[in-house]
Amino acid sequence: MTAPATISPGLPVEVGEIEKQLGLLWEQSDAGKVRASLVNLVIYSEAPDAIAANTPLLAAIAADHAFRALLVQGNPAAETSAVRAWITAHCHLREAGQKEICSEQVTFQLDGPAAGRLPSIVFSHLDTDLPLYLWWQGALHGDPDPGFWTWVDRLIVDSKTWSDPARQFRLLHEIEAIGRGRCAVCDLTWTRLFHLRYALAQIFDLPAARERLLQLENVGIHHAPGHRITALELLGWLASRLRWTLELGSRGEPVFRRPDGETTRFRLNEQEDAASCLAVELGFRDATASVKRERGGEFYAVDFHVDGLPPFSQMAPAGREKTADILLSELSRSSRHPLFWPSIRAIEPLL
Amino acid sequence: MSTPTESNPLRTDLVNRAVPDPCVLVIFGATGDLTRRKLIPALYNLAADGNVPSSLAVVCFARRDKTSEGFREELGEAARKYSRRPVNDELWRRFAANIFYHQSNFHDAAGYESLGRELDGIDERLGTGGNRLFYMASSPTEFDAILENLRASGLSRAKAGAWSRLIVEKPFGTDLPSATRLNEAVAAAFPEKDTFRIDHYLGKETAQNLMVLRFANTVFEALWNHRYVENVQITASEPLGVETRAGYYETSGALRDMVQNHLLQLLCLTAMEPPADLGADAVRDEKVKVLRALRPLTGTGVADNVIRAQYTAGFINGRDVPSYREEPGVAPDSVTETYVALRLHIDNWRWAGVPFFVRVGKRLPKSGTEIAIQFRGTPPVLFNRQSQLQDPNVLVIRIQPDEGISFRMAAKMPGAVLQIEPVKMDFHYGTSFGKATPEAYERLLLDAMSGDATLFARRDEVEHAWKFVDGIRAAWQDGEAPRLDFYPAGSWGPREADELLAQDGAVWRRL
Repeated sequence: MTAPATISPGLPVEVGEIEKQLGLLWEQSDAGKVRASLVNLVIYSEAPDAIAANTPLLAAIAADHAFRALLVQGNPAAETSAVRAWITAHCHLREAGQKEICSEQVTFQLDGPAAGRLPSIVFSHLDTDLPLYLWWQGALHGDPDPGFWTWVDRLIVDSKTWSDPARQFRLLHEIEAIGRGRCAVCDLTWTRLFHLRYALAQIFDLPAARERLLQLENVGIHHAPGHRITALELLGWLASRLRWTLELGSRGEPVFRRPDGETTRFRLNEQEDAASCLAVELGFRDATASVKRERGGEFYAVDFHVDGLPPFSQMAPAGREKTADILLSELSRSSRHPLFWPSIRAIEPLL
Repeated sequence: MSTPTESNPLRTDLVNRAVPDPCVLVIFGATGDLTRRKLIPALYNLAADGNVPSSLAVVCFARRDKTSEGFREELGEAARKYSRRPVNDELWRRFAANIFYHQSNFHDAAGYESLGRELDGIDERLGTGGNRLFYMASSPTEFDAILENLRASGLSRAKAGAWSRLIVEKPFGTDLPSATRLNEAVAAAFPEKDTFRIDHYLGKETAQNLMVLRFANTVFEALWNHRYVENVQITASEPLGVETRAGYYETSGALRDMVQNHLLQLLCLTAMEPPADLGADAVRDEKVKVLRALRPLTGTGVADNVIRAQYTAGFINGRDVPSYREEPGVAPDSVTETYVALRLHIDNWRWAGVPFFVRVGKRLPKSGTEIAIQFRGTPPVLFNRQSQLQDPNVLVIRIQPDEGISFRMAAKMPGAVLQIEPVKMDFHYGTSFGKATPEAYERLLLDAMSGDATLFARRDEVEHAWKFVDGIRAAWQDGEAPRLDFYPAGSWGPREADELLAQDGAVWRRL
């Protein structure tokens, strides 16, 4: 059973009283509720509807991953400096007869110069000893503050929302360097590709496919509008894993040079009706492979066909596309994404 | 031969475990309950998670006259009933297309020859590469015939560049001689490295977490010895009676049904030394050392340290239930134990003098399996000067249900008066990690397909466990055997079991 999602950020409180008011909230709650937290999840956004958009999202996530959330809406353009705060909790009953598990949400609105006080607001309200995950929604700010970023354990972004990805990736790299190995970088666009990469990889467990992999001649990626960066990250993954280098072809078009000296061509095809995650077609001299997802389908259809052999066909999980599901898979992950930066570097000139 | 992960560059960083090779799973005795309730739902869930090999076929070998189409339908119904997640029709259709029924008597050599031809055909059609995983899900009375025929037909021999493995379901024999005979029959057909003896308790998350708890946390391992531990209690209780298993249970009893395998495995994981690495043999070497250090119980030692009992009529879960001897299929004068409690000692440096109390029983008030580490009390100074005021610290590892870990400690109650009360810190898997826990069979099938034997019992483990249990059974069959005690259904066992612990100043935990 899930508590109904609410858009209200909860009870308004004085910033200096937040911990005390949270304590009172738990004292007054019935014995059937228990507070739980695995992580400090900070969400920072400058979107005007940030609170209304993220509160239901947090309520959904709380069902599977307990947290203390600090939802911060920054409004640096406001003329007057002001800080407002609210507290609420998201409770879920996992099994009949068990206690409800509750996650705390503290919401802040930072107006004007107060928006620059993000580090202070965050550091004052963290749950001690739990890791700090920061989901920065929208474009990253230039000139990152080392005093803040060195304390972030995981920085989550979504490159799909960036209007200038080349600059933003450079900033992301800069922030990661400030973290000196502490800060793990996570791009939700990359996370979104996990099941597609998994399905593609599975094809090449087949000996007949494996022996052709290094001679891959054509890559076709179909993506929905707004998902070009997703397609590029997938292409970058193939390029980095297969050690291709980007160069210009005979007609001036970008192609990949394979280690065997031959070229691999690619096309990114934007389709109105494509699933937001992609369909991929791979072409070999005497074989084809494809991974396709029906709109809203739970599975990818995975096919491999070699001339003269029986076709191979399988289904692979496609994962869920909702932001809450993608974020959950990232919250559950304790390791880094070692293939992310090599993949970005492989397609950097195309960004 | 390289594994898919090693040879496929696209696999890097996608899974942090070995990827199973394409293979054919052959289930002997496939029309039984295990296939419907556990194996097929587990395979379906692995497919839904994308964890099955790129090519997987299942051949169901059984005596009854059925067709592949008809059997797929039966299995489809079972998958819908027993799968932990809803069945997707399209995925099931594709998955089931590679399930084949092979009708044959287990004793018929021709049935194995035709099986071989069928497997070769599947390899050619589906690219399963000659890899075979044979699963013994039949009655144990058929094991010898199946193993001999697999050997004689050459099916147990791995083809060049491929593997041939065997999964054996419990019981691994009924005593040491029969277990040794079975192991020899297995060894005649399959090398030990390709033999996977399933104890599904080892596939449970909390059992796997025991090693993580002990060896990935500084604080516990430092206290995990006779200097700090007063006793260890391992409990497996269930409210159910024998249900439809009277025929089996009458010949088995609680000692052989639960202690020889599941509870001794849990004891080994609790008591073993840190392995040199996480490889299958390093872990199993350490478990065997525990079994070898287990003080044998024979003769009067059994009378002093083992309580056996049987349930009488009682009241449980809101209804009256009959006594064991009144259950259908049970002899009216049966002396089969439905409850057993043991005081065990592990004679090694770490555990010298620490009793391990192990109990298992049917028709107990609650269902639960747990390991409780009871720590010693504090010295008799300060808060302990007058008497042993506090309950000592207890670390409880709950195996099922509600998998998790709790720790009891003393705390001062708020107020002017110094009053100390026990408080509990509790970790629930379900609370902290919301995602559904895979079934034990999913993990174990995946491991067998990947060639990882860590969570399976090795031959010497099984034989050492039988040797220990046989000593107790021999004493029970002796003329001076300790009597069979009785307990009412719905109680926590016989009074004699409480007295066993009282001798050490201990009491059973109430679950």
